[in-house]
Amino acid sequence: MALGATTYKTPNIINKISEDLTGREGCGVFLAAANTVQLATNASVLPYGIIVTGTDSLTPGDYSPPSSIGDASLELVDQLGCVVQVLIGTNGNVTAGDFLLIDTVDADGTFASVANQAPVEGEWIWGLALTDAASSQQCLMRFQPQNVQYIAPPPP
Amino acid sequence: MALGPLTYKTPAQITSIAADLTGSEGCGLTLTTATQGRVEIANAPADLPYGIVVVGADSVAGGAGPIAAGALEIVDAYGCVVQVQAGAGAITVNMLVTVDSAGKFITSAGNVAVGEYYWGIALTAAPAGGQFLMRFQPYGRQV
Repeated sequence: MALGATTYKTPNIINKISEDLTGREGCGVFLAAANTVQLATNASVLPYGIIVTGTDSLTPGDYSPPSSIGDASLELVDQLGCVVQVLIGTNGNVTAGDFLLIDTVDADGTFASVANQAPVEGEWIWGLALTDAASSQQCLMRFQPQNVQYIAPPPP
Repeated sequence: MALGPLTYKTPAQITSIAADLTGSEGCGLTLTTATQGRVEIANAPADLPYGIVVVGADSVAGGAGPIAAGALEIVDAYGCVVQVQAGAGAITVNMLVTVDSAGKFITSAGNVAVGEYYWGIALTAAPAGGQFLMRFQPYGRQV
């Protein structure tokens, strides 16, 4: 069976950051404003993408208002369904097949397994772990955000 | 860190329309029920999201019917980012949006009931009637 056309997209310009993203490869970001990303520090923010190459702004240390970054200095995976390397927080191990969400204990854009951090209604699952990882290590994640709409009550 | 290869898709053939889509660029489409290969404007949040009109067109004979090859262009790949039209009410960044009665996009707050659909998230802001970038990531409201 032949494959079809490639998927095309209109790139959304990201040219400002709200904090230094140097060394934040593998962490999740959300849109803080148009064209501006910020580390996701809790599981309630709407997933935008994953940092592949971090960077600081053109005015290091000055992020208020969000400051500009050099062209192409920040690389993100923001395409739904992409598989990307992500950084696990200190909140326990990850097993392939686990759903991942933002680690709210570390609150630094790293990820935790739902086995170690139970999601609550209204939060966002960011994707599915494809490989195992120990705390503070990396795993592959398929970026497929989904909203947690209902948690079944425990059986009586 | 290098990025990987491109994503591939097998396109679904859309060969007819239920009504003239001229000037409907940026509006939401749904597959016409029981008519394979036909799309129409999604005019209610209950309509199942199919894609977004990028280049509108009328049919070969005008109105409902077959379209010329390549006349109609649609973004239908899940996760694509596309320019869409705002309906009544301003759009803010990160807003979850749905369609109004004209296939234009409005806030989902108060407009999506259980069983209806969110179409995506706004990546840029827009005034009422303006245009904004939306990431097409439809999902249904369950509770």
